[in-house]
Amino acid sequence: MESLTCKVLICDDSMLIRKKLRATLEEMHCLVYEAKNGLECVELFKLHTPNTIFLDIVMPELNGLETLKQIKQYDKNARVIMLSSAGTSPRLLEALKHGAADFIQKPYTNEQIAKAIGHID
Amino acid sequence: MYTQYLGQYLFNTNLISASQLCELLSLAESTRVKLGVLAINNNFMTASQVDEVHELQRTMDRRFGEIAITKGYLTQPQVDSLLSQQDSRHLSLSQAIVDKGYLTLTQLETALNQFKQDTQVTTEQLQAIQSGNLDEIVYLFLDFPEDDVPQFYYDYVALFLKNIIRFLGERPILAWPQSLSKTTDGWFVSQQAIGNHTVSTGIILSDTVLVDLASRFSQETLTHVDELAKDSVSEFLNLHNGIFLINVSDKGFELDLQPPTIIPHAEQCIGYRIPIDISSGRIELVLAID
Repeated sequence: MESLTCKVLICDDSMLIRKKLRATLEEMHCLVYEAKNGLECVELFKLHTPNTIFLDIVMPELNGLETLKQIKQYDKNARVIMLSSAGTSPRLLEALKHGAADFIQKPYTNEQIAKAIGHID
Repeated sequence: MYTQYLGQYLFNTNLISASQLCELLSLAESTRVKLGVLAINNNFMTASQVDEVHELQRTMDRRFGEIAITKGYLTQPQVDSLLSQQDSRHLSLSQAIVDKGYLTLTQLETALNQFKQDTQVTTEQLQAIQSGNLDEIVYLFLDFPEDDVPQFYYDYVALFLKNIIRFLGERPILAWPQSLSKTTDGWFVSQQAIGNHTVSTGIILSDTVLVDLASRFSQETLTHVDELAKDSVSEFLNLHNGIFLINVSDKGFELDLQPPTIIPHAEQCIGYRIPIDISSGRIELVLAID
């Protein structure tokens, strides 16, 4: 069995997105954690310190931008990739302003995910 | 799309049966359109003139266009135009109908003219429809009860149809003749976008259509309405709305999406309800702007 090369936290309120993204990341030999809202995401981040977080924006409880701020307050070096269908310019700029490393517009491709976790240039 | 609209029209007006329509749509995919059918559809020739040219073709080794020009029914530019359209499959339903013998050329001519009259499209508009311009189709076929409905509504519906094609691999039919229906049965998936205005969106669908839509979107084998199926339909609406918000954001409208919700009944929904048919049944698209 190949060793797991990365730890990734997926935060999305969609069960379908979590299921699909987990399958993609596990094929890339990542250890995957899942959160279905921002509150869970912050807790799991503190617990597991993943290399990369894929963070949705439109979520109940705590939305993605608020979640990003809380994670960055806890660890300013956290690597957060926003993954959302609602990638309007103001949201994109706000996410980057608060320290998001990148922004992937849904529907994503596996190549975008591989690039985001540094598996391909 | 034109094929679907014409097919639905012929079915609605009892000119062909449902089973014939299904057979024709399948056949239409592989049917090459002949110049005679194109000439009738373009109003260049009458059915009797086309029949006459077909008869003459049996007695002389000449092409349809050559004979039609000799008879004075077509000009060379018209023949060139028809030949350029011949590679298009948009009219192939008409050809399939004639080939199967469900309608004669004369009956087809009458039906096409009635279709144009009932839908009140001009020849230019019909060509836009034939070229598959969904924005034009929605503008022509969407029949809101009030006049002066903002362009926003038309844009939203056109994008929804495009996203059905893009993400579900389906050919949607904007149901026509249209009545903005009031079904209360079925699942109601809804999502709001809030900003200077509140945009309320939703889709109403039966168990069968929900499972079909969810299966197509998720590319999972789903057999009944479970959490994954409900989530998949919600995510489809979320994805569509996200794309729409990007489009309107580029035009200066800033709206924030709220998480989608799904409930097992549609009594509470407000707004226009726009019926859209896909192969497994009917979706009602719900749209309201405050």
